[in-house]
Amino acid sequence: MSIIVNLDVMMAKRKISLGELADRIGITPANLSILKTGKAKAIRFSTLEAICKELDCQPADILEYKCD
Amino acid sequence: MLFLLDGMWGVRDGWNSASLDQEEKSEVEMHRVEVNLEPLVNYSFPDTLHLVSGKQIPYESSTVSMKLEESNAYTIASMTVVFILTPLLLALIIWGGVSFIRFILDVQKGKIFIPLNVRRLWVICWLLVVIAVLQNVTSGLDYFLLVKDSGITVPGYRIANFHFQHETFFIALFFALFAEIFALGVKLKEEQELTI
Repeated sequence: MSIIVNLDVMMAKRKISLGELADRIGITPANLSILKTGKAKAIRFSTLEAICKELDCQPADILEYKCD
Repeated sequence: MLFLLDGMWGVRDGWNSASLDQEEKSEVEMHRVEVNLEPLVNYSFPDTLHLVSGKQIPYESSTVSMKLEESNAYTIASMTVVFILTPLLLALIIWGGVSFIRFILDVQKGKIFIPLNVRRLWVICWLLVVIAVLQNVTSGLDYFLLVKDSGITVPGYRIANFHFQHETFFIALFFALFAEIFALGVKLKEEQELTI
């Protein structure tokens, strides 16, 4: 996939677990795991906003484009 | 008691009648075939039906069944179709029937846009295509090997040329369309489920 999700890197930097982050942003740990492992097809702006707010980061810190 | 006896006599009479028919049967094999007719004069009815009330009604026939003498070529071709294609067709019909029933059951359970349903619709589509092909093959065999050069005539009519039967193909096309729509539904559902 061309869009790489670096959520696990930011979570490690902020020392927050998957379950805790999922709980704070209001989605299930299963869905957050889908996002973290790169299996997601799309992400809503509302979800991205909530993640950036909790992890105190920019969207570019979480999403990276890699040319195939 | 009388009813049972009457039934038994009826069976006996029918059995004897069938035996007589078998003895009277000619050595030449005859095959029942549907023949399409076209009136010789357009926009007019070639025949008149006389009713019991004395009224006469003009009418025309479009199809008539008749028994025609089989040729060697027809016998070989029809036996090939029967012995090779019939078991295949039966297997496909069973597979198609089971697929259709399972499709309906899954839809009732709420499992609508799943890849399995897409595959089932394609199975039904291809089954209908095979049935349509076989329909036309058997009609073609009847017409080209039996009817065309038979020299038969029906007063007021001419024997219609072979017509390609397309109805089952259209139904197969509808199922192909449904399969594509369901495939799109599966894709949209997957995207929806994987949208975080």
